[in-house]
Amino acid sequence: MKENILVTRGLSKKYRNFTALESADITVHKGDIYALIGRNGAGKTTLMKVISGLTEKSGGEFELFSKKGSDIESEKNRIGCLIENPSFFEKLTVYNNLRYYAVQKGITDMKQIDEVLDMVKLTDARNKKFKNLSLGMKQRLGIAFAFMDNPDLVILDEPINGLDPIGISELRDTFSRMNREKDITFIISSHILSELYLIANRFLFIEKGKVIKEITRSELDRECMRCTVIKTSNNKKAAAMLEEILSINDYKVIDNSEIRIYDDSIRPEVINFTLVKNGLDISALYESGITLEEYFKSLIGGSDNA
Amino acid sequence: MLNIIKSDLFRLFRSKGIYIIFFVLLLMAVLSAIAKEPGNIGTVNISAIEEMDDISNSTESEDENIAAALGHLNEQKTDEEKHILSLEFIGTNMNLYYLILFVVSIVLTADFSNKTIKNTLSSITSKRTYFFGKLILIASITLLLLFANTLVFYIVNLIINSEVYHCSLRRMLKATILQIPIMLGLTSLLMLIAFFFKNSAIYNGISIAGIATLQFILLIIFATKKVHFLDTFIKKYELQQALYQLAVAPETFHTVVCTVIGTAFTIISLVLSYRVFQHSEIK
Repeated sequence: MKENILVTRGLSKKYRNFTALESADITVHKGDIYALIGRNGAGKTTLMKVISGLTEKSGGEFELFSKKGSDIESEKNRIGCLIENPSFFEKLTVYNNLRYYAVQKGITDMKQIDEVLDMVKLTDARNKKFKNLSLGMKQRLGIAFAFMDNPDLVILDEPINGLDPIGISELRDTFSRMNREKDITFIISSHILSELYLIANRFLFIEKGKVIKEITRSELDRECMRCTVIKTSNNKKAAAMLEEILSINDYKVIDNSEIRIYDDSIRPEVINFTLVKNGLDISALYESGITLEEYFKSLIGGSDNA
Repeated sequence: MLNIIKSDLFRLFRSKGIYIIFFVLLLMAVLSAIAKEPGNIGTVNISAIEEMDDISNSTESEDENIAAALGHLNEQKTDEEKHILSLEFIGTNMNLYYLILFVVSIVLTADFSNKTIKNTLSSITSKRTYFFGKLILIASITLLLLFANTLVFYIVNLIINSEVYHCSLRRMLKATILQIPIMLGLTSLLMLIAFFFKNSAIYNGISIAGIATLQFILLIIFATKKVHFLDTFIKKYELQQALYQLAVAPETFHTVVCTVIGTAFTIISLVLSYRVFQHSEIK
């Protein structure tokens, strides 16, 4: 069984009358690249801020590295964070900004600074003042800071903001490599879903402060893959017919009225004819296959209707 | 905690601010030694107001009053007064408030304004360690400034004025030590403002305009002489007056009251700062 890095139970955050995070139950395992997906203001950053101690929770509890409450403080040096915009001292150089935090972290080997700068391709800009960096370079410096001192958990809020396509690709490779080689656990949020899909192995969909769905990559693939959707008022009877008459076992009952068939060896019109002929009431039957964005939209739609 | 202090020292000595502070310290000492007068920044000496008041209450004409007042302020110092220039200089340590204000700004509010505090609190240390690290550093720099001011003036005055306008270093240090509770009280108040507003512009506005407004109100109350109890209190315990008396003519009761007020101010401000910070949202 995988070690749990983060476990939240009923975690909530309220700002006066506004609920930014409502009763979130999530589990992040060691080695996960855990993607937070949600619209602006959905509660992703709030979740990250509560976990990293930048804001107090209003309710519930969470365990980080199997520690609770004030005991978590002793584990802070195992975390690397980039939350919201990268923030550094404007008049200090790139190197001195990282050195400032290296001293705070108690790092004695300053070669680590060069290593993280090299990792994010900022070696050439090491003597530039922070205020003179481009948005993308500032973002890279923020990521370099998060990787200092070999953390076990890296929390990145919109890390690819302001980066060019090549930069995004390089960082994606870096995250995957660090995850693979150093077993670093990531919690990453981004509004570019396709990028998250390329690196994450688990996904959390969040909307209006509520966790809508926590799903693994294989489950997500299955949810998004091409299939035949059957809408019926009697899904039990439909499932029985699929198995007994059509010998279809690769299907999933989504809810009381929907079944998805992933077996593409039998054409939809054959399925329709067979089910109707055997007295099943079918309200709709169509082929489907959705992108991550479409899946996300369908989830939010579900949430709105709830 | 030590790492927080070390990192801030690393940053301080890479910024111009700390060098400007020590330059101003030296400049104040040199100017005061050359002019043979301790100077005040933004404050008015109540004793001078009293003297002006006495003169204006006499039966002479307005022009004669002004001439007499100016003459009185500019008259030659007696030998005894010459010897207390060093102590008078320490008596104007309210000037250091503006330098301490700057120190709190560099060490603390810069962290809030640049939002660099979130890096420290999210992945390095707790709010508690951060708070006490900053407190120890700021309090240490305040004490450093206080004693550096004394030592710098001692040396500068000795070089410029020789032995004439001078008293012993031991006496000067004693005067400085008596001012510590009030200076730490002021420092704690500045930290409270910084932790409460977490914004450089608001911090600067309140800490500069606030002290000026307070002095203004106290002087108006004193000048109108409507409430006798307040007049007496202000004359002895208004910040500038209290520091002056502690340096130049310390009395046991006055010193005890100043120490109690300064200590109480320090404790209350720090407790409030800690509570505000512990429950604050880091943006």
